[in-house]
Amino acid sequence: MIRRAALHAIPTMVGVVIVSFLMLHLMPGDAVDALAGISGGASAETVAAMRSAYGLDDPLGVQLARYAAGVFTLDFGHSISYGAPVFDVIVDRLPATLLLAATAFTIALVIGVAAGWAMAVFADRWQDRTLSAGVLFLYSAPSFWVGLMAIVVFSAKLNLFPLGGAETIGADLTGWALVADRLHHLILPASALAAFFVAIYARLTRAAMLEVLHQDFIRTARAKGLHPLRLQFRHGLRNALIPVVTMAGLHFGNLVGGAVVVETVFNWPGLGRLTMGALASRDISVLLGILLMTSVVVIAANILIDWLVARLDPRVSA
Amino acid sequence: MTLLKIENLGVRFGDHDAVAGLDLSLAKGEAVALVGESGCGKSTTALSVMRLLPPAARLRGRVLLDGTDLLSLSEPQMRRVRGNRISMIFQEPMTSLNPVHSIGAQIVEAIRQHADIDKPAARKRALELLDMVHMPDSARRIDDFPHEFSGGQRQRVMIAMAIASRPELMIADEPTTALDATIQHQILSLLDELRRELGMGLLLISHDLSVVSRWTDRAVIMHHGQHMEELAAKDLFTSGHHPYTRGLVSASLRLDRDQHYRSSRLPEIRVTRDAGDYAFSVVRRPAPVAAVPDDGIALRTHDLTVTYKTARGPVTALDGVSVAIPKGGTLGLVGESGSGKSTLARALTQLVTATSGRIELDGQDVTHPRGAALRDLRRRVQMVFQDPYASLNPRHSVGYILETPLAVHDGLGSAERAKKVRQVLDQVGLPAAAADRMPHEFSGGQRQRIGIARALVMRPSVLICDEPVSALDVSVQATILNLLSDLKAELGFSCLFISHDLAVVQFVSDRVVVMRNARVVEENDHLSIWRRPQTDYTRGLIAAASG
Repeated sequence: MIRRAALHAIPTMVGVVIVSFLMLHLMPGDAVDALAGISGGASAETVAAMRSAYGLDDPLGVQLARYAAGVFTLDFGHSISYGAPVFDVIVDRLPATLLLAATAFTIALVIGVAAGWAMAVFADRWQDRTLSAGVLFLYSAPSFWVGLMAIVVFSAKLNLFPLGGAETIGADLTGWALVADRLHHLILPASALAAFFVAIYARLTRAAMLEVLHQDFIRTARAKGLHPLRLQFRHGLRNALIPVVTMAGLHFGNLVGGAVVVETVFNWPGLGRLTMGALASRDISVLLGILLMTSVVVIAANILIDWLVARLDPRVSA
Repeated sequence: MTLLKIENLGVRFGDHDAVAGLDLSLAKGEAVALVGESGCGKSTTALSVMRLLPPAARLRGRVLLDGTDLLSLSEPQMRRVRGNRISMIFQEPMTSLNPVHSIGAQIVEAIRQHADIDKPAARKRALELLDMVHMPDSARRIDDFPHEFSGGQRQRVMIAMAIASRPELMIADEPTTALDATIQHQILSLLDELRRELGMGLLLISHDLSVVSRWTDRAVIMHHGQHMEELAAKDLFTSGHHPYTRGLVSASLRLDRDQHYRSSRLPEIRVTRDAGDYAFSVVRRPAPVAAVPDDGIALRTHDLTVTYKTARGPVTALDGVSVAIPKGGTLGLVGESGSGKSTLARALTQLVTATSGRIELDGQDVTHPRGAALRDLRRRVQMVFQDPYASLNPRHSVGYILETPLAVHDGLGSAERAKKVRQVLDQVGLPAAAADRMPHEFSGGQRQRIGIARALVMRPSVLICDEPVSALDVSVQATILNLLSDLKAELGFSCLFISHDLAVVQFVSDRVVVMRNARVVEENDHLSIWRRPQTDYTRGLIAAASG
């Protein structure tokens, strides 16, 4: 199954390369314009010479072909603004984003499913209403605002967490002290990123649980004399997880996208901030590289989710 | 020795009494049936014994199990009764098992809930239980998941779970309604065998009088939550005194009674309500004078074959089927699920395409019609579906549903369409005002009338009825079958009547075809096929249907 999914991913990737390449070239201005702007102006001859040096004056088709050929050998081109190969620039920052996204994803799933379970079990009682109000709040609050408020409350006022960054600069920590320091920096941004998805998964779990709890096999389980908790988990939640996990996989891409905003707010050294920088300097090859890398991550995550769903639902693998 | 005694049980939802003042007693090892039509409160009664009703239900009276009032037990105490002293199996074997756990795990769960044994021992016991319910190849199949079993096998798993703790009482709520006749027979005889072997009491909830008279000792008849009559099951068909019982008995079709639409109408029960009390009467009217079919053939298939492409390769759903619907008559089609009967209906109405073979309508080839020929075929061949709840679009008014085919095929103006709609509603016995209402405002029987009206509004020459009464209660079934034979006499269409119920087919058919595994097994006129069946398969079906 995984091999088939990986094969299916190839045409998707080809599509991603072509579409993002063309879309990014619709953007006005290129890296040379940006460089010229930063250095305070350049003569028309210099600009033309730079363009030809970077191959930016070739026809679009030629540039696309050159780029696509490079992608095959993991050569994503050269970043003009960073003065380094795009691949190195991205790989340098990818782990930080992956760590942030994976942590946020885990937080969102665990808290979301737990809240959804509680809302379904206490459906239409005060517990459900309170949680629903909280969930609605998280659902409607934008993540940059949640991030900023978290910084104001937990960092600035209560002094519980650092203001930003991924580690204490210049502390030179090793071993467990380093892990603890990293975690300390991770909690706020990961929670801010998770907030919206907690709301989504909670609502989803609630709906799925309520549907499952009305199924015939729940009545069978009750007729066996099972304890309500066993009923809710082994028969209810176990079935409700199938649609929740499926949807969680679809949302993983959104979560990676949301990381851009949160990284900017928390000064997190990941792909999100790199994207903002590359956008400002019109560094199209870096932007393209980020798009490609994130789609690889999202596709990989979806293959993982499909595998997980097949493990959860015996009817799928047949 | 009384095992279960229900005294003056009342169940109230809001201001509606689902059960009112019900008394029932059941001795150790006895089989008692609760009989009635949908909504009569028989399932509610069963669920209140198990205390499985939703919290909104308010219960009165007493339910004594060996002298202990179950209604006064605390919830933890009640959990020690459920699945242990009383267990229950349900109507829908397809959805009553948890799809994500293996059947072995679900049986082990039932065992370990009430017995303090370790997992390997429980698994060994689960295997014994699967053997007790005659699950073929049990050792290999214990780790399979519910979707890998047929309906009958799933019901066996349910029964294995239910007898796991050797209960004193088993409640079976319509355990075989969703199953084919031969499987139904197997499951009921299994329940009977286990009841004798384990000495348990059996409370069988059923709407099927033949099942009740064959498999139980006593029957309690319910209507609108009330106890109508109680009598020995063997006397059900002969000595019922209550008018409702007698109505139910006479409206029920039985294979050995040789009823036929040309000689008699089915008696219909009329229920009238006067100041909260129900009054019952049985209406018998003479049979309509129907034209005797001549030798003409309305619709015929030659060697019709339909194959479906599936992920596991092609499946042959119809394999060289040749049948003929007599002009002005009814061809009955009998078969179990998967025999290809619905595929035949779909092929005749061009909902699936024939892979090979020929279809002829009035002598013309209509195997692969296109364009105008296809539209003409759709007008002349119409279909009535099984499920009156799912086959009408819930967002359209009845009038809209009925006039759409007229607009599509005839392009009539709205006044003419309305006139035809009123006319067809009148023919199926619904008031003209029904046109402005929505499908959900009607009962199951009324919806099936709408389904018939929708098919007849085009004045088809052939009507294909796919299990049109199998979702309906006995008394409603009688009125719909009467309606169909009246309409046939009045409008003169020919009919293909598909059913798994032999008694129904016996009543409506002039000729009968028996199908199995995509092929025709046997064909004959409506008298000979029951009296002189030529194949073992048909004999088996008749034996199962005769109880």
